[in-house]
Amino acid sequence: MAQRHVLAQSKMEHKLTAPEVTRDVLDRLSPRPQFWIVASVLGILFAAGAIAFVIRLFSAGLDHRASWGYLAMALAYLLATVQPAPLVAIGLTFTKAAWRWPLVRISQLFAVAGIMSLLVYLPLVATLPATAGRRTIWFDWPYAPWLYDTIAMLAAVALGLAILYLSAVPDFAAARDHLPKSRRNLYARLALNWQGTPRQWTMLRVGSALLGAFYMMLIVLVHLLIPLDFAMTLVPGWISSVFPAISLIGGLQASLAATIVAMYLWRRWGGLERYIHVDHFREPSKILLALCLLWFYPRWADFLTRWYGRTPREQILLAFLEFGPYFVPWVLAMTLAFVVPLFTLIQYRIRNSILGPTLVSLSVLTGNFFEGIRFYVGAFSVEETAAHQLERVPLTQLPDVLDIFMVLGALAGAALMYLAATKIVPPLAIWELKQELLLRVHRPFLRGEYTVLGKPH
Amino acid sequence: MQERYDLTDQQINKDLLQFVLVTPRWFWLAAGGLGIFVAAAAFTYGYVIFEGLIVTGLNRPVYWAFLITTFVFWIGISHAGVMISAILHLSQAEWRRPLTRMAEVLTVFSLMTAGLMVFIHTGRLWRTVYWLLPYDFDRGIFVNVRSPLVWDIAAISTYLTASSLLVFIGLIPDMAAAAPYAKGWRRWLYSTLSLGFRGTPRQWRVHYLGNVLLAGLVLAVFVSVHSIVSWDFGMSLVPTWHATVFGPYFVIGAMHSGVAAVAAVMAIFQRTTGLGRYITADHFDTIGRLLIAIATTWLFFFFLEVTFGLMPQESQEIAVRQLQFLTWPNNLLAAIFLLTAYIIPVPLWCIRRFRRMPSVMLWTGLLVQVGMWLERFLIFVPSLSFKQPFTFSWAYYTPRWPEFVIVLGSFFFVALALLIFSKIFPIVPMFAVKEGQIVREEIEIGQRKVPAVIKERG
Repeated sequence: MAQRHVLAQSKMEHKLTAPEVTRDVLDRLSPRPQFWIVASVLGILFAAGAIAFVIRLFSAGLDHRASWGYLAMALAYLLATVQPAPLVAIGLTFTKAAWRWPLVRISQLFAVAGIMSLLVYLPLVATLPATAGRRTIWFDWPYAPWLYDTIAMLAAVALGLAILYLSAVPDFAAARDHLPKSRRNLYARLALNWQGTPRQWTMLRVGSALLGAFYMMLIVLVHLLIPLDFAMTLVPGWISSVFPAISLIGGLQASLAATIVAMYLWRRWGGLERYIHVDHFREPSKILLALCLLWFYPRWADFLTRWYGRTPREQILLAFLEFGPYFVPWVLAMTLAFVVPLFTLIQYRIRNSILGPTLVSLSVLTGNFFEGIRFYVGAFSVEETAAHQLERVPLTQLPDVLDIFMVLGALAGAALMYLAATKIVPPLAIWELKQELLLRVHRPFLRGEYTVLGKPH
Repeated sequence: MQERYDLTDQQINKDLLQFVLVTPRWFWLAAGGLGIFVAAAAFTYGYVIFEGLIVTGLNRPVYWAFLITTFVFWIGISHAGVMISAILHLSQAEWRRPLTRMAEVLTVFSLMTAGLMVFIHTGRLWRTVYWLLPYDFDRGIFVNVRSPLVWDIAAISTYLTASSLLVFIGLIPDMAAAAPYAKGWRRWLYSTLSLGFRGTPRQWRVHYLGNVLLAGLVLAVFVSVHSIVSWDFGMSLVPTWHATVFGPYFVIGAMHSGVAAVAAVMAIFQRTTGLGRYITADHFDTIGRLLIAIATTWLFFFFLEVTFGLMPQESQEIAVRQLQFLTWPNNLLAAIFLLTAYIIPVPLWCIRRFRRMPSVMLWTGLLVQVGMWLERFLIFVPSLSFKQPFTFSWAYYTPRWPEFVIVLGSFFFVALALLIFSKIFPIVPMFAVKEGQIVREEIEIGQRKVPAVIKERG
């Protein structure tokens, strides 16, 4: 069945031509009725979140850190799911994965949603205490952590947008040349006089590679600084050198899962079923499986080292992070982000489907959500940050109505920004799809056919 | 791969069996030279057994030094096999084909050497039986299964078994192909090892499945082995060792030294056994790029290990770090370590022209080995020197000649083992190269022909 499906899909690919791809993808830039419905719902949720934020600001103020725990969790969740998403595109381009074409733009577009993480970050940074008297990696640097965290966040968001823009320039040129006059002016400006000369293509390739390399480093830096300043160093005695790796791998896993879910949505409701096939779910799900194993590994190393150390400092941390107030989120995170993907994605039948990887990705995203609650809500609930070790385990911080609306608003805001961006930037990289049409050839073999992939570089 | 040679099956058989069937004069010189050093190390070990560990520099409080450093170092090198063979196999990287066997064999020999180091380290190796086996059932005295040292035995022996099987399964079709070319004892050996392989579709299917399954299963062992080795240290409360990052840090460090070692071994075999058409500049280029990524990830973990070690600002931890990086002669060793493990090789690998040169990959690969050995030394010895909280129990470690001879001997042992293996068996898998020739294609774009490959099913 699966074989027949793959064959049928590859035959369908035969029929696509370059002008058809251009026309078809540019057609997606025009909003359809369901776009307005979804955008309105997201907009309402975002507005509700903003109102909840204002109420919380006036009722609790920024000094009462525990009131902002769930918003900090939302920030961490956005940082994990949307900010590293362009890395999916960068990684696949660097490794020249032959199946990357539709994924590239869908993951790059998450850079726009990254603006939401910046909006959430800005009020939260004011809740952080000064580093004096606390154990941090800043060692009493001036204006730490506020200044450096803000620079890192701004740079990550800006660079993500720059990568998206650079990659979209040839597509803007295509839009300039093919769309009706009313929209042509906008795209003429965005296309920066792109003519497709060899020099321009070289600049695009080199620029993308350089920006990609910088972005990788920046995401590593952001996932080093934010989890430390917004979680670990707020809890006295919590010193875990593997924590930045935990955060980074969680980010890579969640962003790949978000990309898979976005691909499913585009395929199901965005009219891109001609471009997004089963192999675009099967191949990333292999990486998702590897990332799930990687997700577990540093957490296990962290847990085991504290378990074996058994110093008073470590025992109270075990009670706080694992067996105490956040036991349920811990078990849910382990189950949804590790156990479920492991036992499902290990099966070829599930990997080689469209719905299977999507459902597993949803499980991964939910698991990471609970992981954020454990780390960030827990850390924000600690009052005394300058002690040598945690003196008593704080109580479980349950969300109130304002927390729920703030979290929903942040997530809805990110989704709304993504959605809005797809009406300006084509959801698929037209120039990369055209390249694929040239480099992927199907040749007959007996009654079937086989695929040949060109490797020009 | 842009650098392509069209080769027939007969040509491949002839080229890859050339060194196996015809012995050049340098082989005897090299084997003899290496053998002398290995014999010297063996005699030194005999001397250590006779006199006891008193002839080494080991003394209170530093009881883990050169030999344990070398044990961890060789465990690290053993990660090359799985990295190159299993991961690249599962990810269907085309460039892996000629490299898998040398990486797998390097794994097996380095694991054996690592195991040897532990036994040598115990001084009188018969005593190790007390640590590994329950020796007094009547009184219920058993080994402590909660100790990472016992996990070591389980992990390393599993890894050695799996890696040896990986080598053996890969050898089966080559043995069948080599048997008709061989005479005498070789013919008997090859026929026996080929297990009646005739190349039927079913046999290929089973062979492929066996390879994939072993590659998949060995991945878990691959991570666990070095994690467990790291936990030999990390689970204790010795300052600078009790860090949560130790597991991943050791694993990535192992991959760094292991893949760099494969690059060096590739360069040596390419030059000495005339494999220029099989191990090309493209292979060095790709492994160079892989090394940049691995080395930079390793540097990140090194940064985490040091920074978070200093973060609690505890006096004993700071004292150890000072001894590790700022006190003579460790400051010199630390400088050499950073230069050779990252600062010199990585910029060279970043330049395409250099990473395509076998000589550059050979020397940088060897430099990384120096750096990574020193890295382990600097992790273990300074921490043990200042292990106790009271300064009057602090002491330094100075190695003596038996340790130098044994450690150098281990390098010669691995080199000799590789040389002998490559003399008996083809070091490049013939079946994989032939398969690579089959999946090669070309597509036409306009007037140009672009290299292409047939896509394997996911």
